[in-house]
Amino acid sequence: MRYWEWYMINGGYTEPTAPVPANYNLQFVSVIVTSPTEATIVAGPTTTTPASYSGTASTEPNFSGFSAIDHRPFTDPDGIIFLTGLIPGMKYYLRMRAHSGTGGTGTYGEYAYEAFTMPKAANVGGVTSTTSSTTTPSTTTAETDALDRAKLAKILADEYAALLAAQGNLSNALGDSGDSTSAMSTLPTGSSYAVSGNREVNRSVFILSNKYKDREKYALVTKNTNISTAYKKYAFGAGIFFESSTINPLSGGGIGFFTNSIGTTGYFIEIQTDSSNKDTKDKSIKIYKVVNGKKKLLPDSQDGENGKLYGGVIHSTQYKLDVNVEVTTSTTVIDVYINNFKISAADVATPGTTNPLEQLIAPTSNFAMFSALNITKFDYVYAIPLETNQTNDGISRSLYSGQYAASTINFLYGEKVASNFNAPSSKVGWLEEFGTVARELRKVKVNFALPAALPLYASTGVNRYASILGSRFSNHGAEIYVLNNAGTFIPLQAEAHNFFVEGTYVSENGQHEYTETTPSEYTMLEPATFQSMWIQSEADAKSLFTWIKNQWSKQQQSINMDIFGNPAIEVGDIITVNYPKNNLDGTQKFLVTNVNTQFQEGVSTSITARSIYS
Amino acid sequence: MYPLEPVAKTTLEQNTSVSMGSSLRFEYNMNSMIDNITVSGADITKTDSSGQTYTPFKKLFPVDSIIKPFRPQGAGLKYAISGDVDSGWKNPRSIDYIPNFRIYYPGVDTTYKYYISALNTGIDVTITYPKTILTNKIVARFELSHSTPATWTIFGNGSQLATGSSSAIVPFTTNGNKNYDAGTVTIYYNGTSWSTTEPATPAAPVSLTSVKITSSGVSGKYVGLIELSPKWYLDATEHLVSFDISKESSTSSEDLMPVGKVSANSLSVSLISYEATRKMISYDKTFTLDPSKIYLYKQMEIKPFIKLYNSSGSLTDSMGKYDNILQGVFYGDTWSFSEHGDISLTALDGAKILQETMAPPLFCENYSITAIIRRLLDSVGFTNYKINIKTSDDSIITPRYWWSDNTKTVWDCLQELCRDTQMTAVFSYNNVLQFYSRNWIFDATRTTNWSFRSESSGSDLPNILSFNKNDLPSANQVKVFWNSVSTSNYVQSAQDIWKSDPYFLGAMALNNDLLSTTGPGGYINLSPSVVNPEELGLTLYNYAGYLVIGSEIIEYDAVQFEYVDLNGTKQFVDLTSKTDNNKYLGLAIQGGALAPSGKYRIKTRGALNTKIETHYAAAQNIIDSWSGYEVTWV
Repeated sequence: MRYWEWYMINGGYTEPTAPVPANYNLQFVSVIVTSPTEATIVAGPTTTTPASYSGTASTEPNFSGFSAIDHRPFTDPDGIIFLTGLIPGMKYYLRMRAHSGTGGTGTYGEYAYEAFTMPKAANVGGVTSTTSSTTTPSTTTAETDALDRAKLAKILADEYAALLAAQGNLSNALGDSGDSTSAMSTLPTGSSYAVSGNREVNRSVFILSNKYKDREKYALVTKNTNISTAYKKYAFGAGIFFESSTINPLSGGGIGFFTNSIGTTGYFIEIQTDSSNKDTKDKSIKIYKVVNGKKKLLPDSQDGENGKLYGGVIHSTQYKLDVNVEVTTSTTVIDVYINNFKISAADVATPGTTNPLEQLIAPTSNFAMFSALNITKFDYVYAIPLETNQTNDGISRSLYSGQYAASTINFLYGEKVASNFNAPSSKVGWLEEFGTVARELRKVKVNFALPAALPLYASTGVNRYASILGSRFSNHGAEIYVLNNAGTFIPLQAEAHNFFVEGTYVSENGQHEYTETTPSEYTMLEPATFQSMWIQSEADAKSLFTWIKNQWSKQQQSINMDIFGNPAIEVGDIITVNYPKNNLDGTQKFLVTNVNTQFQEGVSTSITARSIYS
Repeated sequence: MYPLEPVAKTTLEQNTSVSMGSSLRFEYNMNSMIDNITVSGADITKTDSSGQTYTPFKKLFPVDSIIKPFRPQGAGLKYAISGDVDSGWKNPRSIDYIPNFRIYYPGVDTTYKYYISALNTGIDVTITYPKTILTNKIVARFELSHSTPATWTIFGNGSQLATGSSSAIVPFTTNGNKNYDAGTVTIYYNGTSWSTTEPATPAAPVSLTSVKITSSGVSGKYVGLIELSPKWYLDATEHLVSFDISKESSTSSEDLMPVGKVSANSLSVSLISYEATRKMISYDKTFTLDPSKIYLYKQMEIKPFIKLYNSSGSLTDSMGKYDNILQGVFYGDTWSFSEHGDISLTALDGAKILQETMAPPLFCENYSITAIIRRLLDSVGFTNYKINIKTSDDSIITPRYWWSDNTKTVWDCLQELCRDTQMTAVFSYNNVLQFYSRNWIFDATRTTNWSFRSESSGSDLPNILSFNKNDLPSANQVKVFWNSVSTSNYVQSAQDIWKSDPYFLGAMALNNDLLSTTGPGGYINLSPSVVNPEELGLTLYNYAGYLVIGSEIIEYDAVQFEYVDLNGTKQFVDLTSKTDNNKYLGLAIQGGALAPSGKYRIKTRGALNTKIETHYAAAQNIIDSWSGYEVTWV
């Protein structure tokens, strides 16, 4: 960016004096910010090698020193200027030119211009303990909300102190209060709320506040994850959400990777709500490359209409941001998945360039979260180096399925045994959740709507935050344990999310009838019907039909007899009856169907029997 | 037919004078008469990768299963354990099933369970009673399908009562005949000592408060124990006036089809107890057992006998030799007392057990109906059954799918199966549930068991006292209605067979440190972790459930709410249901409401075998670990 207005005011601008000014024109000038107060200026190459460089870094763009808070003219023999004592948060304007002579003498070419803003540490509010009075940062944009949080912290602290006191640990409770200047503590603080500068942790959510309306200013936090940078592929991600639109209609934020420790260099993924879009061409998802505070929007797959994120980004919804990165010598390929919608971008290095903005950013183990507009909330973040086969197998995007992705509940032999709880899904990766979270594990024991089914599996569909830890099926019902694997309330069965058991029912297709025609149409019909429940084949129906026809088409006889006391006869016995006066000659067989035995001053027996013809 | 000796049968057929008597025996299972019994025996333990010890078989082979009511009468049901399954595979769907025992894969839903020792280890189980029991008979039953221990010892009150070898354990078969009481060891008290020999008459019971059994281990095997039950049996004949036994294959003998509704055999007994202080009384579990009493209680075992005196009888009394013919095994159902001590007792046969047992969830694909019956009865641990079919029996249907219904009892399911195949199911005298296929039972070629006549035939005397014959309707136009069932075998055509009600899974931030010492009755202090601050009043959807914190699972059983009562005082209450909620709404000031306090009452720490830990709420540590900046990207 050039600041043409400088010489209209003052600044001592002079035209280039070199015979061929272009030979001394700097291809670029770069500023590498190394801390909130330090920066290194690097001059780009020229056609003719210069003997020295001169220039000015100033907080005012007039380069004259007028009204400047910090004004630094310089000459330098090699074009690498180290600046210290810079003012954090201050924007500096830079101009620099090449000379043919040493010490800024001789002929010279045109100025190269640059501007940069020093990062400012955002913990100006100081580390604040939450177990006594709470100081909220003066920089917050939501004083009322902060006050509520302070009250909450006070309440929680009081309750905790009471708890400890009740447990005879009063000294600990007292000692835990008021340490407002303590550095990072190795002891638990006993509260789910803490605040420092532009950031706070509340109810296991990391909240990052950006007080500036200037869209070039970002609130950012960084952390060294200590992941290996020797890999070629990486996965990064976060759970991000924005508050209700009634609170902050403009919202945006995201994550960065391969960053430096102060967030002025790195790749950044920014998500902003639809209502935050500047115009119809603006995108909800943007992928940036930032080098020394210079931002470059990487072209991505959203350029076509089909590549745009449908539905956009709204408030009050958690977005699962997963980023796959592949690094080669010439290209860094970035695949961004936002709730499983894919956007791809690539950063291609310019061969032979020394311009840092046109070179690839080398992997670092730093990770950043930032808020571009108002408040951005983070549920979790992760960074995982990947083996090549992990992406080839298409599983990289599945690497983070929550803290309990590998957890199971084993039902096999009755005692339900939970295993792999709290085991990270990747041994080499880094995962952070922002507080101790109690997640609901729902036990569901249900019967299916129809009495018999062939269940296949239980599923939460596309809802990857709900994890089925264990399930047990019968053909009549199911017992399922499903865990909230996110850090917030999530829909299990609501809106587009479903929790169900998939399978097939055993269905009755209708009733069949088996019969055969009577021998003669003149035969007197004696109908009999048999309604079966479990005969399910014609062969079985025919077998029963045949038996009924053979056994019962003849005249049936049932006999009842009181017999001489017989304690040994049983149902199912075969008997013959010889009673000539009743047309029974002892050859007819009967089946005993009922036996009644009485003992009362002797044994008496009565039986019922049916004729057998088959 | 009861297996009468030829002489006894001849006596019935040919003697002009036959002497018969009766006897009645009651038997009480102490495990059913007393509550709060404790059973101790080692559970098989395993250690997971984190060093946590757990007992994976505890719910499959629970030691307290051995005192449950209605244990199998004999061994023959085995649950598969890796390394303890015979080679070879026997298709369980087949019509007939020859092996001595049947193997099933175990599951938590399995209704019937038994106990096993650890591998290579013998049984060592002790039952301790909260009050004195009376016993003169102790039954132990081993699951022989795992192994048969070489030795066993039974103790009472810590002292050895009897010991023996495997020869005293009833084997699966004797001379090729199935023993329905396989695996059983029974010891009797004869008045002075305990032995495996049953005394001629029951001895007075002894008082015990604990019973223990040990056995030797079997190399490479488990030892299974089905039952250990001290019993008290007594002769109630002197109180017997009369009895009436009704056995039937179907409720109506005159329907067109012979099998309609299968019914239980029943026993009606008339008893007297005229003592000034009545000797025969209804039992209540609060009673102290008194050996001078005869108790009546549901599920008591009743055995009526008829003595048939004959010259070859196996037993002898003052009237001579006799055979004691068991008329069945019945279980007490109802009884009534008259003002003078006349007692009317009704009992049912083993069908009563099946009528009172809900069918477990079963689903059989392409099982023959005999296989279904086996599966159904085995699933509830009912082993005393026999399926009688012909060698080639086309009456055995094979439904493509059969399933039980959890609203029906086992007996209901059997009735449906028997009716559809016209199979008869009836308990025989020895308490074995006999299934007769229609082809078997209506086979006219079967040997005649009894002949009845109105007049003498040779030496056989007439034995019909009265006779009545009914002509039943016949049928020549038969229609059989049957159902076809189907399902899809393709995953692609699967559908939702169950769908959850609307539900949100909660996640709550831990507000305060939760110490490992905070146990049941304590609270977890949580705040909802939500996307919108407007949702901060949320609580978990359920009043009871599980929470996962770190590597621990915590079961909670109430959610604490607060309200302002009619006196204007803030109150805290633990709600366990929506009903509680409505109750306290009425106690709140007008227009007041219940609000969650954020506390959840702990029921179990370390649930589902997880490790109890201290959980910290350490927000400050987290925030301190990040470096914050305000940066400008242009």
